[in-house]
Amino acid sequence: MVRYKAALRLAIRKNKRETEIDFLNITALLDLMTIILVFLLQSMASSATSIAESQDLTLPRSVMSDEPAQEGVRVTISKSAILVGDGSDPVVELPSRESLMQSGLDARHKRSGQPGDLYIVPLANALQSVREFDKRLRASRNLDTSTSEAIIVADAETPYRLLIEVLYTLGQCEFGKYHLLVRKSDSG
Amino acid sequence: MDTPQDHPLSPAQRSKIRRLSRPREAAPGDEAGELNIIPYLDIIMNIVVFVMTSLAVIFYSTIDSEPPSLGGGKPHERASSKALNLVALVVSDGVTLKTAGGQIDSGCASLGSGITVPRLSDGHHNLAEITRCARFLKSQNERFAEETQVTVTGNPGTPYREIIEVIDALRRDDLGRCDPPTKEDGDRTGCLFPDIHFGQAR
Repeated sequence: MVRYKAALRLAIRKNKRETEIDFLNITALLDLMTIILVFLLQSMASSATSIAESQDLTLPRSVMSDEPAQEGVRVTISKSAILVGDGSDPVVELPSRESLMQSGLDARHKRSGQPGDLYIVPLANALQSVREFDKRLRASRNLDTSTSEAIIVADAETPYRLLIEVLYTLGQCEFGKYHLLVRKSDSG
Repeated sequence: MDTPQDHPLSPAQRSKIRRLSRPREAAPGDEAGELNIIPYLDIIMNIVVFVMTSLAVIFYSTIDSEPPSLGGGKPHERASSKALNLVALVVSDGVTLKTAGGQIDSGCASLGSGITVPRLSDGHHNLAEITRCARFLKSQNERFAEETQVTVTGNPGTPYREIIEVIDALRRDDLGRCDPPTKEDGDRTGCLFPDIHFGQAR
């Protein structure tokens, strides 16, 4: 029995491997990476300047180098529609560019029913509810509630007439300051 | 006296010694038996790099403005009756500049009814000439030096892209920049007309 135990101890000692680090504990690194990823995705999602450019919406380039304004309701003028906020439902669907170049949006969308009018009724209706919400938000933050701000995301080929109609309608809906979103010319 | 060598181990004992002395395999949950999360980590790393690259490639900026004025691009705030009151009208043939004194003729040297800065032969606006003319007009009187606003008006069909190009031409300095000058910039003046208003001809 003594001989057996001695042989067992010897064999165990012989076979015992040195404690070596054969793995890296990367749990902390993984936690960090996941937090950074969530943070970046959140930043991208909440940023007013996270624009998905496409054939329908290409921003003009500018020499401007200031940081983009983050405050304001986004109004998007693409080649095919006008959208308010982050929603994907168009407030107004746009006709061809040739038609818009003449007298802007169709007269049936105008307040007076005349093509010369600048006030776009469907856009104003959408903006009014946004304005009410923004007014309450500003009041809760102790900001000036007399006016709201808008970020205009317009396609580079948008006719000036349509741009003015949108800006005018915004002004009529108590949006007193606009930020025209452009792409920095050195951004590739 | 008997020594251990005198009594060799039996096959059963040798077998048991081999079994008991064998290094134990790490069970799941033991330190060495962690889940293999390297593929997951690879994916996370790729996504992080992709997201950071996406953020770094495209930069945006904004041009601030206020509601458009009606009536041929009347400036929002007239600094005084003797102010420059520069108005840029973007038309199909080029850009016409107007001041409180009247419309600027082609060449930017005198008043007249011509297009102040005609388009280039390739169809693009002559942006360098627009900048030069705007700077020339601003330098005509000491009172104009403090003036920062310009009203931009376009034909109904003028693309937004051209409006932004003309705005840039009216804002930028010699170096094509429109940021406040710093001590390192020396004599750089900064923006020509940084305050942009939009007008709409009746």
